[in-house]
Amino acid sequence: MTRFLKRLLPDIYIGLVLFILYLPILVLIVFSFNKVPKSYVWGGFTLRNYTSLFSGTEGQQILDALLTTLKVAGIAAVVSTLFGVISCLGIAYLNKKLSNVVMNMTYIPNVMPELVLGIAFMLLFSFLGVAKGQFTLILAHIAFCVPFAILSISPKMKQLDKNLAEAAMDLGATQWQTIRLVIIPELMPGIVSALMLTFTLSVDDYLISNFNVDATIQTLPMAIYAQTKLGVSSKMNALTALLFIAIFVLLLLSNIKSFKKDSKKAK
Amino acid sequence: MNELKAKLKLMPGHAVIMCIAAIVSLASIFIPMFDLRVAFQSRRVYSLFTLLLQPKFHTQLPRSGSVDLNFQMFGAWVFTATIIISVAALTLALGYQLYTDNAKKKRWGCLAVMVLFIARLIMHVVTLSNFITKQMIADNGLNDKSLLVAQSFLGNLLVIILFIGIVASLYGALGIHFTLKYLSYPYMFWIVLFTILPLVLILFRAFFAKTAGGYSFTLAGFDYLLSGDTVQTSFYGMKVNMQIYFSTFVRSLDYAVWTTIGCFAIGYPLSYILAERTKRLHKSSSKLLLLFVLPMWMNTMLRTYAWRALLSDSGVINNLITKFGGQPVEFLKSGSLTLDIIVKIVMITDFLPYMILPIYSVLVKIDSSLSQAAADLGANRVQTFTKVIFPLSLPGVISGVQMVFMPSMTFYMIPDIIDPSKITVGKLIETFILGENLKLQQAGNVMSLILLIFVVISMGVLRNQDKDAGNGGMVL
Repeated sequence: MTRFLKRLLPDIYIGLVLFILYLPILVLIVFSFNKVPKSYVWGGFTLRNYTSLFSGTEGQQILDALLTTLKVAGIAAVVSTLFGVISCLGIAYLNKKLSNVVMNMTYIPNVMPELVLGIAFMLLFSFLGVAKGQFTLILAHIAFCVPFAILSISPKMKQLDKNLAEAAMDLGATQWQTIRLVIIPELMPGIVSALMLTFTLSVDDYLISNFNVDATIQTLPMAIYAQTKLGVSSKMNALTALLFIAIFVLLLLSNIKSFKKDSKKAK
Repeated sequence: MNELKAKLKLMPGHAVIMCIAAIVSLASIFIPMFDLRVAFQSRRVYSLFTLLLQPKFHTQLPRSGSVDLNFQMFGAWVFTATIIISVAALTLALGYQLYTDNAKKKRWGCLAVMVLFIARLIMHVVTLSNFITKQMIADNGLNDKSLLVAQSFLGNLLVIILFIGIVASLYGALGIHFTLKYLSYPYMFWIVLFTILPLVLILFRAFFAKTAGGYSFTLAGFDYLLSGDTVQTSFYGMKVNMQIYFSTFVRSLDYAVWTTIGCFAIGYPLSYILAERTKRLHKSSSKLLLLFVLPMWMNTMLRTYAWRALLSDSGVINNLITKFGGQPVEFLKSGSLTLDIIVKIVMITDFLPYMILPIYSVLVKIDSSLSQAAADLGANRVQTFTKVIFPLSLPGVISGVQMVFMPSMTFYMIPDIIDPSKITVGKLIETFILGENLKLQQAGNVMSLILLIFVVISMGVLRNQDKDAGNGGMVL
């Protein structure tokens, strides 16, 4: 019996931690079906929060915040990844000493807390005389994302055999063709993960947005934080539950895909 | 014709960009770029061409009066000048690239095109700034805020394309040979602008306040922080008298230290179990690990708020307790020991994935034959762990601590949602810096500097231990 328990102990431990991690998420999803708005007191089951997600003033506010967040995150992810690819190409051909310096400088914003970065960008914009607004919001997000993009692409760049590029050139490819047909396909996994990472970082960010925006624009995390003071709208719960389930399904699908690939390989 | 095609194919990149920019610059006379706004409303969008075709503008104002504008002379001048510049740029850009083989001549051609592009840009700015004259404003009884021309999105695009054209022709004029190395130069500039300068500014602004004319030296921020009153706060349910700003620092540090310790204590065994499982099943990564990472995609503040909903006086847990005939527990009683502990538990659950991921990724790479070798040499399981596995996993632990410690000190939203009565450093800085009071802003700047110093110290400490990771010293 004790041996059986001992073998089961890790599973119990994992289960317990998972339970605590998922408890608030479960509560959140359950209460997105709550009849009483803005409350965590159960008042009966309803689908109203889902069916009228974006209607009414409250829904309009949520929709505006969601669209702002998606726009900012989309621009930040694409621009920072593009810039990251270009910079990584350049860094790989620098001499060793200089590229070390550049990479060390890239690590600095990576380990800085978001609060310090947010304040630093705010002081920078005030120093340059740029008024806070949508432009500074997007620029701050890009500046925040670029080091992350570079750090997820550069390992792939390091793995890349430089002789491959030279071979392509020897075979008559132009520089542009070499980049497009040889280097970029090799970097593709890094580029995809950079896009995903920067997008989620930007969507989830509160601190940097908070310091670099004026009162007219609100991102989703900012709206949520404002709501935690006055009572979180059940519609917000519904929206996050939808987003969470979407990500969950996406992960599940990609896993099934890779699982099928694995089993095909095994055959 | 075939010869031309072959030549077009062989054109170098910068020449292609130059030609495209020249074509766009010519085509732009048909692009609506100037957005005329009368009395705060967008009334008509002009291109250079429509400026010539429909030069007269008449509109009735909503309240009283009307506006009459005539752009005939202006439009004719601007249109002609722009056409001349653009056609010249296009001919030169195409001509020099296609019909000369002399490298030196090509460079002179590029230089000429660059000058023309700059002229086109100046022409654009001149058009924009002279569109509405003072006479027009005075004649119609408006002011420069209710009658103006704004640049439309396409106008912005044209300016960007012209800039790219200028850079391309400058490149051609200098005749440099392109290597991939040059691609990193924009990023070096970026580092200076967005990494070095902002951090230097934090240092600078702690001592210099922004005034109308520039910056002036001040120690007001330090004065303010040091002259704070001694107040009574509570730590772990005990009442303590402490200087107000010092106590916020101590409290943030308290939160951060316990969050880090808690994450390590829960996360290390977990990563160990997951890594062992992955190794046993001979997989590249654990699907189970995804379950621990997944909560990160749910907004932290909403999760924290859900905790509060669970534990509040009329919350889910208290509902269950009263249903089974128990007394409701006041989990969130302000100033109590339980509340202090709950804040830390919630913070631990939030930061746990950041600790698990780096430790797991190091543990999973440790060869399992190493522990077999240790066992063969007579070490028991505890010795194997303390002498072999743990020292090898230290880099993961260090980067985990790095990802938890400073962020948990500055991520002020979680304590603020659970326990709004206690203020942390981050919250204090936010209210100071985003407020209107200049003195408080200065104090906020000083606190940011102190925070930055904290970051630098913690980075330094963790880095030093990284070097002699083999000693197996406990982090923290």
